[in-house]
Amino acid sequence: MIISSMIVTTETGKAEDIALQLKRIPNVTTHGVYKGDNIIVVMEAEKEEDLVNLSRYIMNEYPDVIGTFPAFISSDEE
Amino acid sequence: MSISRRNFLKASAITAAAAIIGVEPLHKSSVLAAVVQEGVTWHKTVCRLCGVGCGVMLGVKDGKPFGIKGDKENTINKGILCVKGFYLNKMITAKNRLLHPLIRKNGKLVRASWDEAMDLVASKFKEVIEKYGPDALAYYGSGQGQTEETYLANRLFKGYIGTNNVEGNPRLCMASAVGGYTSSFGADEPIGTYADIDHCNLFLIIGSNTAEAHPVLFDRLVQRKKDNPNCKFIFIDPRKTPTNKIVDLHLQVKPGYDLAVMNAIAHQLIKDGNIDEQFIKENVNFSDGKDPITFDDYKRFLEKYTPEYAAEQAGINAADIVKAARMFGESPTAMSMWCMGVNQRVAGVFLNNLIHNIHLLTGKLGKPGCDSFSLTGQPNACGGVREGGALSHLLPGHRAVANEKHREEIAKIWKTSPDKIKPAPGKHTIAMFTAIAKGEIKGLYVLCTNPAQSLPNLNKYRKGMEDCFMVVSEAFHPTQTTELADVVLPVAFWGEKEGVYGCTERRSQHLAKALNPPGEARWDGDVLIDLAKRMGYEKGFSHFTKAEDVWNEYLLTTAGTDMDLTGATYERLKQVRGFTWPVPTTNHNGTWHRFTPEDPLFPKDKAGNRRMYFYAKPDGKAVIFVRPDKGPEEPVSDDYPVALTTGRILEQWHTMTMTGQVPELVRSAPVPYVELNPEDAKAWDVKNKDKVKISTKRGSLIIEAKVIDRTRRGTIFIPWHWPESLTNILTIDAVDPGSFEPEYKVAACKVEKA
Repeated sequence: MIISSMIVTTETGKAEDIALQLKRIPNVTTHGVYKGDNIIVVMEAEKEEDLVNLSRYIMNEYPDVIGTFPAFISSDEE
Repeated sequence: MSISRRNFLKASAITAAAAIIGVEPLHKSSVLAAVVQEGVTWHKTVCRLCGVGCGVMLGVKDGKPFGIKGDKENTINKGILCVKGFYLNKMITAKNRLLHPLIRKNGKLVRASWDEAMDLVASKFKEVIEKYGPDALAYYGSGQGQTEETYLANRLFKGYIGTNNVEGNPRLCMASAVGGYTSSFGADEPIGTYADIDHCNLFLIIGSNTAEAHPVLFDRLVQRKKDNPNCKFIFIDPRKTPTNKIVDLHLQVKPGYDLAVMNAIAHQLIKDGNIDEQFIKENVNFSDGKDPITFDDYKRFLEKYTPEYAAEQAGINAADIVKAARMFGESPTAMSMWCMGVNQRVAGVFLNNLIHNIHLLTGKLGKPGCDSFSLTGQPNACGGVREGGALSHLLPGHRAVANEKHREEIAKIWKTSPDKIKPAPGKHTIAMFTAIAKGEIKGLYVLCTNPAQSLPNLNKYRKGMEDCFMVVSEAFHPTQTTELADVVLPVAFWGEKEGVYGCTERRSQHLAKALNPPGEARWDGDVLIDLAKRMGYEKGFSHFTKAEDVWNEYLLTTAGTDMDLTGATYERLKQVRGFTWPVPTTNHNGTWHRFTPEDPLFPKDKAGNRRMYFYAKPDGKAVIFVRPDKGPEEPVSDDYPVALTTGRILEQWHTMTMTGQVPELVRSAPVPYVELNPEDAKAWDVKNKDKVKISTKRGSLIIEAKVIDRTRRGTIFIPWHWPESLTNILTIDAVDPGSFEPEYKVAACKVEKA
């Protein structure tokens, strides 16, 4: 299992709403909105590329998202 | 408390993200994250990819790469990384790292020892010199090589072998920006820095998909807009891109027809009175490109460039040009930013001049929030190649080979005879590869770049590379270029060697060596010194034992110049996040705005009360140039009725030599594609994912269609990254007559359903 995190930045005033929508994506959890428009998103996935795919998906599917910036990735296998 | 590894990692993931934003997450997360990272040493370095210059921390555990994180202390990215930079550690451990030297025997590349490979290169090069003279050899380098590596190659080829056939891939991406800066302001590289972004209210982005090509810089622009709701963005580009998300006004021009628009903006600025007469009087000369002219002459030239005329040329609305001019003119501050869409054009230097013109007219230069700011594509094109003087007409420290005094100064530092450095410029990149194709250049040394994929009009040049004796110094194999080589030398990659990169904003930053190179790979600098010695130049190179020795000599070439780096010693660079030159002493901390009183080189005696003094120009005045509109070299025609433009996507970089090693990135866009406007696709009976055949006068490519509302009608776009689908078979190799940079951005093509 891969565990990764990213910051999702949104248009001003849209972050709370986007965070709620992101929670509906399987294996995705959000961990608060910080400094206005930055959402911390953690994803658990089978494959590493899912982080990139999620990043592109969020950019394409949510017009109010302005940027996605990966922060961490690792495997839970020792 | 029993905590699973999974929970450790989740905590670490949250902590890493929180750290980038600059907030403290739950205390528990921080504690758990610290446990996960036990035994990891983090090394301060700089991203290996684009020219933004993001600070990166490379984590090493047990001698292996552990991970990557953004450098929070770095002023450029403040901890943020894009998706490409985030996977740098995976590039280090890629499966196709080259571990041993290879030489071609009986048509195949086979493993060889270093001695065998280097003796072969040295003897072949010496043989070429003896038979055909030094100009039958050439060096082709990169804006990705470290400054020390590029400096050594430049020194060897120009100062010892005796040829100015020294080029690098920045010729293909930034040469027009160099031409624009040197002609308009007298000296290369921007006046301001990224710090201006935080003071700017009006951004003009032209020919740059910043959101995908420079995503971290884009985030800084986004933050500026959020912090200041009055901040506006004008975008001049043939495509709608993710950059449009922050754009207030988009002038979606026909590819190759934006010069008229820039002249029309100048026309409108003058008409509206939105110019700074005092600044112009004190700081500006006017020129028709050959002779001085007056401001009135310039105004007469601009009479033709009404918004209506320019709108017709560019296929946009005249009212939008007027609006753009007023937004620019009425804003107290303004920054222009551009990239390949401006530079990779046969009128690239002209277009650069026209951007500078509107800043000079309005005095929006040399003060917080104002600059005419070229973005760069590679991490060390500015530092290693432009500043290092590693193009065929240059010498280090913004010097020219044609200048006798400059040759003497550099020969003294290089410990060689001034006569060894030829006064005539060598062949620029396209001329060089033309000479290779003709068999006039017999031997070529390629360092850290992939011309067999990146040159325009590729079919014309690949055979020549195959036929000449080509040495490729590379960390990865195969690439399109190593496959054609006679010798392939395995070299250290990012993180495995020490050096300096100089990024877009004149900032030089130190890159730490955190790992040992794999297999028999060696530092490029070591290989070049070895080659010099084997060719008989031992005396001139034996004093270099490490990268710092090379940097220290390089600093001597910058002393007293407009790009003085004397104060940027390794000792200091290791402690800080770089310096923006000039930084002339070890107690100086770098310069924000050049040509202003804060610049240590500002000549107060000459400048008097002037706010700026362009000291690289004889009378301290910059130049507004008359530059007529000039369309593309290859306009659309009955046979080729569609405009082709090329560019980049977020997850890939250049020829995928590095990003192609990361499956996570590759799978995000696994198939080469062409973007088609939905209306065009309908007219051509093409649906999403259909195969289409794209043809130009130079070749054809069959590629998957992506029907998407991005290009304007009559224009298609192909990202050029994939080696299995060589986009540059289609592109044109016509060059700008001033910069010799090819016009990758516009060609005429036809589209057929395959």
